[in-house]
Amino acid sequence: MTSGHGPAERSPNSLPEPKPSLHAAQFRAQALGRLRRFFSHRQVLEVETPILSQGISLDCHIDVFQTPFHPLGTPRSDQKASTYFMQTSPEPHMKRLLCHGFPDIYQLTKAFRNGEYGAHHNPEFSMLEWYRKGFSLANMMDETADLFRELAGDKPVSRMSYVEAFEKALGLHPLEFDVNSLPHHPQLLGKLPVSDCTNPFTTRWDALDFLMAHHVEPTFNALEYTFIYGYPVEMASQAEALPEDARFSARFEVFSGGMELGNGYLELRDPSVYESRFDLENQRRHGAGKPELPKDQRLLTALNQGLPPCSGMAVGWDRLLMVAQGASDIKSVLLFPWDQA
Amino acid sequence: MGMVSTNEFRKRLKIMLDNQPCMIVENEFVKPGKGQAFNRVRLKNLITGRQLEKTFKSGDSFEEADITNTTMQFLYTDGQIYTFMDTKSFEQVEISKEQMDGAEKWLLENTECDISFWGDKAISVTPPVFMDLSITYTEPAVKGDTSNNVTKAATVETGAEVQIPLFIGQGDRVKIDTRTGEYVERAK
Repeated sequence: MTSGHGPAERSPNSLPEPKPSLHAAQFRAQALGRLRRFFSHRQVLEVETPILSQGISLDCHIDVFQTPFHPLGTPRSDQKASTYFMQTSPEPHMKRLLCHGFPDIYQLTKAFRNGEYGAHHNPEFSMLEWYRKGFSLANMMDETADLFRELAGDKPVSRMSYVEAFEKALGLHPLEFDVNSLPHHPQLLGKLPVSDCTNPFTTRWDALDFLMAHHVEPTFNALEYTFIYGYPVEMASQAEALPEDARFSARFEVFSGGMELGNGYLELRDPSVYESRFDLENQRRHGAGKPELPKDQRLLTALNQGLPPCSGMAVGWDRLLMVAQGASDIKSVLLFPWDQA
Repeated sequence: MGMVSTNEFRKRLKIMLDNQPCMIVENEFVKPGKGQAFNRVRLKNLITGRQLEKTFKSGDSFEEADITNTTMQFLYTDGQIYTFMDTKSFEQVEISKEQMDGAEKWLLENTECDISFWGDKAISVTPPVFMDLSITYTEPAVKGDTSNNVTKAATVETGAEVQIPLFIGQGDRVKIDTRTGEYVERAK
């Protein structure tokens, strides 16, 4: 601070700092108390794992923050500096705990996703994640609904398969429609992404992401929690394939109205399948012109010791607080949003 | 002009879309936790004035529209063509009534307007937000009608019709908000 520059000398164009909301802080503190009671009643252990890590999610659509680690006294240009990533989710560390025989665990932690900034996104955000041994996907949907009703309002819950949701909103079976016919679909005329080509999508998976986010999710009832389960196996991420139909996976997402709140899996256990999905993501990254990322060897080693059968759930904590407070912009629940941080 | 990526999209940015200059009115970032990012954008076509909603794949780039704004003085009109002059270069431009899009209702001789050019083609005229204008015609107020919020029709010196409070009379000067065409206050 330079001396003698009082507020009177401030340039007339400088806006006063937006006031952090005390109400938002109190609400968040109360919700945290209720969250801890919820899991303590259910004998789920709270854990704390690193935010900076040498392993990272390879998800092609997630950009990571990374930073070099220099031992003190080594030159900043030292080639031996190791790269650490800001976690995009606590999933790898929590799974490693489960592989080491930990009981059911949960944590509320900060996660980071570069470039994601908007009414529902802040590049630094709070993520709630928990794992339940022996839980089926249905058990996990039930527990998620219990938690939401307790923390964000006692609303009705509806469940639909991914296929049903698509058929209801667009009359399309997600695995059977012809991708080239999309520009002629009566509900989509003039509503596909702007592109140089007639059809902006090269693959079914690109098209499904878009259709889901722009034409299916917005149709969900604003007054309910909507669970969508059975995502196509190409979008399984780290969920098991469904035993009864391997084209789909034991993955669900939960929404409040059209806003995604969380994502749950019946967790994949076979380390070789993990490795092949990591390879697939790196191929996708390569195809998208993004740098490939190292596979998380520590996670793979732990998985070789055996991940117990379990389901895992990740929830965008700030978004859940938005629902609880009826906010439409994530800024309302953050004390210092990204542009003020 | 340069290229701009959707990551740089912000309100008022002007881009080329289907060979038409468009201004971004609203930009919403949409990204599923697992899946690609999109921008849902409301744009205004700067030629037609029409608004449209489009979705863009995040990361795609578009040509920035070559839109410049110049302050110019209104000189005269023949009723169809409006002639303006740049007071520094003395260069003149002619703008059709259609392109004036209602701005002509507020213009007096020498009024300074903000004119948008796409390349060297003038595409829109924005008059000053507030204009002080004389009332050239209005009926006298009916005695006894003293309720608030009651207005009467009046014509101002540019020929535009406005609604004014009852206490304003013919020959008075009033301040008009040209964005809404509404009376603001009695002008000093």
